[in-house]
Amino acid sequence: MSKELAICTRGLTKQFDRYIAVNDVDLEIKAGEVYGLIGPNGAGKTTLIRMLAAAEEPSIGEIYINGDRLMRDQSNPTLKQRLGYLPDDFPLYDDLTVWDYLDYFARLYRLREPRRSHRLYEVLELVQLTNKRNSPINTLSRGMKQRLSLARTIIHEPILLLLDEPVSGLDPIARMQFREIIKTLQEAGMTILISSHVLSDLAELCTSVGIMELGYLVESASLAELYRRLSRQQIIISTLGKLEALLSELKNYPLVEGYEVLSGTNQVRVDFGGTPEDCARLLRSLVKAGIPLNEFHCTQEDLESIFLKMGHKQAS
Amino acid sequence: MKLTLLDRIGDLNPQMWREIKGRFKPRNVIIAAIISLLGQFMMLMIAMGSLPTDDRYLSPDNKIYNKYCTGVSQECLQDSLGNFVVNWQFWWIEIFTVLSVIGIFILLIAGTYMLISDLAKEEKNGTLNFIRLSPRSSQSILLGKILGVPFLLYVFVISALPLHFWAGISAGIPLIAILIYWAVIIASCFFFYSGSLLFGLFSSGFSGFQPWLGSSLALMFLWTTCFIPISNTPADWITMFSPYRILPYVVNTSLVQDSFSFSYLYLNDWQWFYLALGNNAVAAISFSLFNYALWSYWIWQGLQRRFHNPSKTILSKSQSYLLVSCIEVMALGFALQVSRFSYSPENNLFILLVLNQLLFLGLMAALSPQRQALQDWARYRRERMTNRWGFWSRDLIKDLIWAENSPAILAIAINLLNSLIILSVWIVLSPNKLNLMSIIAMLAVTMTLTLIYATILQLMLLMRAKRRMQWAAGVIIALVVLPPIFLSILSLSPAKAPLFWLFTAFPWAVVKDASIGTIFTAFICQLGIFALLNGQLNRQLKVIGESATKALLREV
Repeated sequence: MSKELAICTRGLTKQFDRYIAVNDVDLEIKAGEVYGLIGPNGAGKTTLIRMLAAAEEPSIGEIYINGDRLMRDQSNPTLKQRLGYLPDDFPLYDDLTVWDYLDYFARLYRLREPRRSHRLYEVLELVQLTNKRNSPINTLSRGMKQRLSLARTIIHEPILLLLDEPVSGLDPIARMQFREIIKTLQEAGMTILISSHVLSDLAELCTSVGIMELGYLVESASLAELYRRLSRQQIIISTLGKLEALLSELKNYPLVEGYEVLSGTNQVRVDFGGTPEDCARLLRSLVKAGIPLNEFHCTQEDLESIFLKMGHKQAS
Repeated sequence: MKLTLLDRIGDLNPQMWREIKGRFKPRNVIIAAIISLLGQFMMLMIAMGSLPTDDRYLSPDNKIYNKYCTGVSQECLQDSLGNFVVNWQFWWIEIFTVLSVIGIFILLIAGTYMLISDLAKEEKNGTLNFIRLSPRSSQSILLGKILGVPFLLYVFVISALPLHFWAGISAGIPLIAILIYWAVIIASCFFFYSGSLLFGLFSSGFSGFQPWLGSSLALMFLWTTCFIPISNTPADWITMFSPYRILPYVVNTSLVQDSFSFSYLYLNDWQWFYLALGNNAVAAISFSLFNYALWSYWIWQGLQRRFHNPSKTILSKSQSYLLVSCIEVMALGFALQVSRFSYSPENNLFILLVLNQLLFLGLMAALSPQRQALQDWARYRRERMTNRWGFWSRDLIKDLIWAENSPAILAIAINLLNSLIILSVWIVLSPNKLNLMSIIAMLAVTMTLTLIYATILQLMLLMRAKRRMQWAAGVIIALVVLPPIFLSILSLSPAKAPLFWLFTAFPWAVVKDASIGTIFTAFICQLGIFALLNGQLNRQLKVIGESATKALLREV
């Protein structure tokens, strides 16, 4: 098993009665990646992550973390030291304060003083809960609890983070804060597996994406490759003059595969099949044709439309 | 100083630190201590009230009698100052005894409750998963729970320690004896608390009421063992788990004559493999400690398995073979002597059989895998195996005897044979007057019955129903309990309708009344039932083990 792979599964399967939640998944995630797992509800994302976190026993199949086999017993304390898992329901202890809660987990992971206090402050700073450190957990808001859970997940500096829907139920500001934290963690060199329904977040964070459907991992590729393969180049053009003139120019241009007039505006979205150089040529030819352009920008289809285009809508 | 101590505990055992931290609210600690001290104060007041007072005008012969007085037939004498001469040692010994008994009850019952409810709550909320994921060992976590969860209870008991020691020493009990007594209490707490943890981990499906169930079972057990004397039957082994058995030895080290009487327990008759345990305090206490240690060890085997993987059975099949031998040898040791309460020597055999029945009911619960595990086994077995043979391949047999998640029926049958060997030791050694043939036939009937129960349990655990565990437990208990009740209501005594009784969980009730022919008929019928049930089990396993494609094609 290659050492460079942070996660590697072989034929990982989980069956509940007749229902196969995860079906023969061979997942490979390289060290240092942020891997986004997307798919409709019930596609098996949570079950997959739970198995990777040793919270669920696979029906069959093997899991390797950094090349070491993950088993569900106490044979592998070093492996556990490397894992951080944040489930989607993040249960907490209401009878402890924020500090004591993190202190407890730091101790479980064998962090000693003075390193422990230092790390606690570091983590609290990262999740912006420093001023809440002496508050009882039951007084925190949902967003704070979620951030506290994340702090608990990373307290022992794991090298592999498994985050299951970490931003669900958060307001936009909290989500942004969460994204920033994830970016910081990635810069610190952690490998992160994150499942989410907020595809724009994933597009911003991830280096690779896997798509699950009906329990299968139907797609697993780097984001760049996914864009290259599946996303069309689009150009947004708007004119101050007549729209018809622009459209007739576009019709004559061979690399234009199709266009759509954005209703109510003088804007056209063009599906373009050429290289950036071809783009520049199109611009030049439009200007030469005397069309008063006031906007011309190249863009790509986003992750959301790629996902919808692929038609992965079925739950298992 | 206090904080650094707590800190050091935290580095050693974070779980204990966390439990104490969650409960170490000064108000709670003070309340626990005050309740304890108030209780002790009230107890002392009540004890004071029973000292002799000058109420001679009430008695006809103008004399005062009191059990603490030193005169002839407990007549109260007075010294030159007019104070009563009181046998203070005797008074203190009563306080010591009462404190000890209350301590046993509070420690074991309240502690059991706290641990079960704590663990069930963590399992329900899902917080236990995080602890499982930490690199700490299950021993460290669970020991932390045992030491930390009943923290306020410990405060309560520690507040009573000074009075307990003072009472003991005033009663003339040597300090070492009191310390040994506490060692036994600690061992018994460890045993009961470990059992509670196992119960909590096992029964998290029984939402809500399992702490009540667990602690009331503990209460019933402790209460009854206070009254059951040594009987030279295997029941002596069961009562041995109550630390109350050791209290008389400690109290009797005080040389007060005719002190608090434990003579009703007949402790002197206590024997194991003809070793007189009861005559010797050192032997009795050592054996008791050994007993707690041995069974705590077994409980921890289950705890370690269940803690890391709640879908595992409590015991592995290979562990069960060893455990059953251990239990059988232990019980046999108590069964060899002639029972004090019954003149018929087979009485002990019957008690052994009852114990066996209970043991095997427990074993079924500990060994039978759940639907999910069985499905994984049935569905993916062929992929785990290298060579594919027919149904009776060696792989399958090996799987049924040793593997995780395979149906437990063959393993239970092996355990039954194992217990049978030890029962036959009893039959060979004891001067029995019974027909050997009928005993053998009876054992065969008992075995098939147990196997039938095991198969029914396995079938129930294969149900789709969400609460199948509860259903399975209910059905098995009903099968054990209801038939004898019905037969009794219909006044069909074992003598009248031996054949019916052979189909209850207590077939040996008819051993004297049934002819060999009747027993044989019952045996054949039961074998038939067993075969039918296993056929059904086999069919069901094949169905849940088939691949999705096969299921799909079948539906088409």
